[in-house]
Amino acid sequence: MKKSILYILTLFAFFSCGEEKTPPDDVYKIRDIGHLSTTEYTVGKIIKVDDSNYDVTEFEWEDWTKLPKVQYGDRRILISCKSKVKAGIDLSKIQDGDITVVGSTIEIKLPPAEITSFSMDPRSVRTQMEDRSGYTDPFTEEEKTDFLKQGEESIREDLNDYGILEDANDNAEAFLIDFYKQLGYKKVVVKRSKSDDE
Amino acid sequence: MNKETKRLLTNVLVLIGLILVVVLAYFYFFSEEEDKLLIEETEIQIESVRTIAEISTVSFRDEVVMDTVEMYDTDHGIYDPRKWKEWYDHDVKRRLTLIIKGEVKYGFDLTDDNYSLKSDETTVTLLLPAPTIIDIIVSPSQTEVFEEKGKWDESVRRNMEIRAKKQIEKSAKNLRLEDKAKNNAERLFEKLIQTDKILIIEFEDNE
Repeated sequence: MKKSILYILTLFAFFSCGEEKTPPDDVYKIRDIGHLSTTEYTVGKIIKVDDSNYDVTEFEWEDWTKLPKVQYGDRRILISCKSKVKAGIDLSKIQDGDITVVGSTIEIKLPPAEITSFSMDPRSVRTQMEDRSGYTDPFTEEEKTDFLKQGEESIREDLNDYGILEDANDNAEAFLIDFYKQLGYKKVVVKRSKSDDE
Repeated sequence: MNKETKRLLTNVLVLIGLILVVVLAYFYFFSEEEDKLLIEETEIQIESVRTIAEISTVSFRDEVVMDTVEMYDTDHGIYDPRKWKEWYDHDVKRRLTLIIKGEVKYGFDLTDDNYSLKSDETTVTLLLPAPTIIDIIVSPSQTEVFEEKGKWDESVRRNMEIRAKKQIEKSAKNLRLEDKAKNNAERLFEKLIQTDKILIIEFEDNE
């Protein structure tokens, strides 16, 4: 009898220890950075999604397992959004040997330019048109979030083509030349590193 | 071809057909690959390009959960089959829960030469503006829809995101990161200004 009670208590203790720990509501992290943002682009984009019936001509035998889903109707959506994108250089990446001073000449080797911040104000996101027909479900918030994520990715890629990093490099160079000239250097040589995106 | 062979061939063909149907049905209903909807390629519109000079020295990342629930306003109706769904859903009619990650950057806005640099024979003095919030970053790639039940208006979601952004900003302000921003700026400029003179870095007072 005593053994049975002991077993029950042990089992009870074992299961009571298995309580799932939930993470705190707010998880935050502070870190040291050294970004010099030199260019700010404000960009607008219309995100367009057309979830029409499956186009049979798009079927590829290599992907025969991806069968077209039966869909009784179409869905279309247009979302407009606006983003603020900043680019510049990460000054914390400058190493000791990257700055050399000889007399009144200073030479500085800059790390490659990069996107330093990308923000999309929720106020700027608007569904301009949403249309559906047949027995289709409306677009869910999860789907809309996914479209916005794709839109963000697309904006980042397109901005590279528009030369945001080149602008950031030019402006960083101008800022540093001005900065060092104020310090009394007669000649400022800025050497750039190219990023993979440029 | 005799009758037996004909029957055998028919059976084999039917069997192959059945296997094919089962395989196709499996991939149709249980395929793990979701049909992800892709956005169409559209041009971006550059609305403005601005030359700035902002130095960010501290980053604070935060994650907030925003939850909106709408409950059924009727009593449990366990004996009423029409209300079994309400009972099953624990009276939750609609729910939208978002997990929003954001980042607040503290630093110094040096745009339009908003700093001064003086040098004499013995000292170099750099006067920087007071540290301030440079960026409050919230983007779709950092937002997760954790729970979505029922149809929600876009404005509800927008308000949740705006409130989350304000909450992240408030959390950052409570941490009083201005001093940390100053210390990091000192370290950064000591590295950039390589001089034998005494370097003095000063900051303007907050308003």
